Amino acid sequence: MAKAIRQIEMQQSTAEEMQQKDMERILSQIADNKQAITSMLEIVDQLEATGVLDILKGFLSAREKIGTIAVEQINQPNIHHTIKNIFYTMGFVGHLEPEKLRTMLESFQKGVETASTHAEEKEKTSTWGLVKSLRDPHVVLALSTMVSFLKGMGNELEEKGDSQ
Amino acid sequence: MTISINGQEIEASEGQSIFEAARDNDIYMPGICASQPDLGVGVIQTCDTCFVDVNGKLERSCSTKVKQGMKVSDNSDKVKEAQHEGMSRILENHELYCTVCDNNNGDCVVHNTAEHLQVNHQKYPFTPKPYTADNSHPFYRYEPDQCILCGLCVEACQDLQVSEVLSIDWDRKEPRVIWDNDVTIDQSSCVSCGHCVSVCPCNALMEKSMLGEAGYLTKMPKNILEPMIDVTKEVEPGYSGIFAISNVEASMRESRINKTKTVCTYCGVGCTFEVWTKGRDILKVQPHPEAPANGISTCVKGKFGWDFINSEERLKTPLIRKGDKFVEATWDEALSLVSEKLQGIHQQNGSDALGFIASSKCTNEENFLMQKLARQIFQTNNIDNCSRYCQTPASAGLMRTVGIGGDSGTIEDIAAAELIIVVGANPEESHPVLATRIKRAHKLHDQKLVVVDLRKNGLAERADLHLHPKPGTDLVWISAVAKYMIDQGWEAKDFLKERVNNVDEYLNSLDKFTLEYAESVTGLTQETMKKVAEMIHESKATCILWAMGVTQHMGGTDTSTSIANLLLVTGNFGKPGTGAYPLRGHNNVQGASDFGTMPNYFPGYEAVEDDTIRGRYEKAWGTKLPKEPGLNNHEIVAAIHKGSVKGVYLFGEEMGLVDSNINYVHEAFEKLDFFVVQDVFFSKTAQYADVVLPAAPSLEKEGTFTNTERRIQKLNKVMEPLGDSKPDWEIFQELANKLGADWNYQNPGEIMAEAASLAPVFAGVDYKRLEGWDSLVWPVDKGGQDTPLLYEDKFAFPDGKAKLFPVDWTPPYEAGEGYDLHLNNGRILEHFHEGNMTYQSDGISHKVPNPWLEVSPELAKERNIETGALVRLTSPYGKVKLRVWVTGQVKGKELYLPMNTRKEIEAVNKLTSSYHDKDTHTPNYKEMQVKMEVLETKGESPVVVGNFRLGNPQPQIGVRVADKWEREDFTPIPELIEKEVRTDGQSDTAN
Repeated sequence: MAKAIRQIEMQQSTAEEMQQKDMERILSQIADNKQAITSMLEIVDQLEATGVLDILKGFLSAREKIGTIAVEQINQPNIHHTIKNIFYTMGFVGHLEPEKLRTMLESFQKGVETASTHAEEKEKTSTWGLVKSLRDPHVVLALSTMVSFLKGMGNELEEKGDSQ
Repeated sequence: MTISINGQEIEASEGQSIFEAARDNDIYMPGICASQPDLGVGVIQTCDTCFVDVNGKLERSCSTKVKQGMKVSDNSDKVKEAQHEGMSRILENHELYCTVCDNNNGDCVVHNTAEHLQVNHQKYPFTPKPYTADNSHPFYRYEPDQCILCGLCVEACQDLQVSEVLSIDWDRKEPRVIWDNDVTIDQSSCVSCGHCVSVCPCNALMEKSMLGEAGYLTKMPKNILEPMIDVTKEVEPGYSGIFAISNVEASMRESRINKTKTVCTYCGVGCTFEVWTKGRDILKVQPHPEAPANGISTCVKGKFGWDFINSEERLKTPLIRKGDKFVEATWDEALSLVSEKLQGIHQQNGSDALGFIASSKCTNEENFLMQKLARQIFQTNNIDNCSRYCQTPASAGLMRTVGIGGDSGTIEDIAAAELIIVVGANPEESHPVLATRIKRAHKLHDQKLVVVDLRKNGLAERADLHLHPKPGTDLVWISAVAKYMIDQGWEAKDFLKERVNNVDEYLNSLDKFTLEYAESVTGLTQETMKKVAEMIHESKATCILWAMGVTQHMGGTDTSTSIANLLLVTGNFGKPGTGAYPLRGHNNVQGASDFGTMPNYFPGYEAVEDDTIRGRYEKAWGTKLPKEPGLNNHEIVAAIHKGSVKGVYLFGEEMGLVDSNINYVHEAFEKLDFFVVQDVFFSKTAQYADVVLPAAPSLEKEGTFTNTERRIQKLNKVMEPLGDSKPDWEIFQELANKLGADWNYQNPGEIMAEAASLAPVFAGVDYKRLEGWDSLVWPVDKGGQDTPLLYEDKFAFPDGKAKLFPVDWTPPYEAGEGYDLHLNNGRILEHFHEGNMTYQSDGISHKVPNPWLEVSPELAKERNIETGALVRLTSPYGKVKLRVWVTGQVKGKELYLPMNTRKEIEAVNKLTSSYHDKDTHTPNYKEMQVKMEVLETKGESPVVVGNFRLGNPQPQIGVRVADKWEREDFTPIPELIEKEVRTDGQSDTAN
């Protein structure tokens, strides 16, 4: 003779017992991962000692404000330029062929070395001497390379000018 | 035929578009709105990203049909420019901030197309539209600023779901999608089916449950997010960088978002889809074009109705009745008690003192195990399931005539039929996705539709013919139509001669069903019946669909039989687009009976009385099994009253609300010595239990369901069971083992393997054949060959011939003097059954917080009441009290009361009787008359703002792209490209 009933007695072990259960579960997990947790604690100790945790804490608790400030700072024309320039520079570097760039850079390095030796000698070069040096095949090569560079650059400048 | 794409010869078939031919040959072509062939909506031509070069001309690949020898290329500069122009117009309407977008899940069509086209810069700057986002709907939101105006949503709403709510207003300066005649989404006629959201190729329409949840960065506060988008736009070196980062983020999401295929539990259509979850949170339900029954279609319950899964009200531990309260117990305590008590009754009072009630909501495997538990361990056939409440008469009628108690074909046959006749069913609300196929075929493909129903329901509004016979008289007009057709010589003579037995006896039985007689009984005019006959005669393929309006009568089996007779007479079996379709109400009504939870059948409808068949099971289970058929649900209740059944084990069935004449059922429960109820919630039925066992719902387990098509589909575990709840099959196994059974199923696949080895119709059913979107429509032979269309060669009788089965009309129950109003009842779209699951959804409860009583305008006038009036209905069996909705859906003195309530005071089954179908004992829910007493003549409407029934649909075909083309600011892309007027960044074309 079972009448309809609606009352359910929940075993109100609730708060404490559930906490107890959770604790047991966590403790056994800790025991299982003893090594990892000890290492982690050591790292945390170091972070605390060096003040890093403090900084992080401040940062996290003000994350929204800081985020807003940061984004505001980033959202400025000059920063846009900086970021754009970084992208362009990266693009520029990416387009250069490594082998050619290496040759150029090595030549440049040699040039710097020669120049500094020359400067150290503190010898005056006469105009004639300068003209004479134009006969030097190394100088001719460097100058003609420079002229080719200027030619290419001028070409590109002209095209860009047309298209604008 | 062959065509060449970029010089590569490929095979294409007649009628295909270039886009489809390319897709079938794994050649990727861009095309945002052209993803439609997979989605099942029409060709739209709005996105303009699919231009290709066809024999030297630019054409849309989505709308250009293939021709033999056609030369297509998509790699010329001209094509690239055209596609790029199309994409640029799209991006004018859509801001790319993929990494912080919730739709960045690897499947964003806009993202993927832009990436494929290597779009690197915004040709036309993105311009916000002057509209704010519409957040009014509880389940999804529309963001006009992200909307690319492709119209996939409109197409899906107008021509696939056919709710006809969405359109794009091309006449505005800034076009947008509008709902109805431009009202907020929540106040529109939107039925919340989710089609529009599921097909949206970007983030314009999104499930609210996704917003801020899907991505790692999408929850960012607005004041950080917006400037960040600005920065990105300002400094972006081209979109390729954005795509790279967003692709990384999308892959990261895969590690925390699980996508699991499951089968919906909200009706018999058997929609399958993926559930996206993050932990226990459901992010969304995503249907898939490959899903066999539904494709990308869903209804509000399947798409959005899963909140119950994390409900506080879920049962989490077993409960044992102690005095006047339930006390929590361990599984061991609870199952020990159940085992001890059931065994006690078994030993003292014999096997048949126990009754088992199985669930049409649970899996095939679980039903198989429960009948095994009853038969093997308790030696009783007293087992039944809730198809007894709905569809057993339909099965019985079909077994009499054509041999198999199930749909003759699949949803594809329903879509392909020339004529659909729906009798006593409201598929638009009870089988929403199936109804979409009828609405679509009727709207676009000239399918004819006859609806026979007391109510002018949604389908009836669309029908070519709506018949409103007197309640409970369907057998008479159906037989009269059959007779009239035979008299006209319209019967399928060869078919009858070659494939049907018992023709003469049947013809003789029709003598009385003249049109005059039918007119006097049904109230239908002779002309109407002739018209139906003509329509059947003119149609080459006719399907008849029916449900509870036919079966829940005292002559339910006979009326179902008469439907099968009519189809046989007209030769409408065994051909595509024909057949009998009893629409199964619950997800596994078909499967529960298929897998043996019936008092007279083993799995696969094999009689328990047959010694050979029983011998097969006895051998497999190592025990003698009872020969005599057991008691059905109805008889179990009667036997409790009589005192012969003393213990009942019930799972997954709210019998205390959904059985008819529930006062009588409640009294029976009170008389039980021991009652076990196993459910997901503490149901009304559970209040009578001695032990309540917490079960896990479909999303928390593995198994299979069989839909109305006889299609077996696998559901996979989406998440772990909540608390200590367990899948039903595990509970049965643990109990059986407490009773010494030594069952050892590691997973449901092993249970199915056992069923397949025992029941010949499931011989080839194997989980390996049900992976992914694969499914099997039984009968399935050992080699795995299934049978989507039945009776092509033979009917399911020994000689392969069908049998015409003479039937006569059983006049319906009359409540007697003073009960002057007919009480019709059934479902509504938004809620499932009594609503234990769907009322848990805040969104659904916002739309429909409570049931209502539908009253005709005529009756309202007569009784001087209006919408909101409070009335009491009284039948000889009980009373209910509800508020009224006055609607033209019901006529004259007929009322409609939805069954979806958890409150007894509103429960229709307080009013219904214990009379039943004479052949199957299915209650005659649909035969009741009541008195109506007015308590308040007016009040607040029970149909609240947000209910789609108050909306104002705007039917049209598709998205009307021609209106877009006629806009002054629209230049066709080929024209633009041919002219080679390239005004990069300057032109301002519409999109």
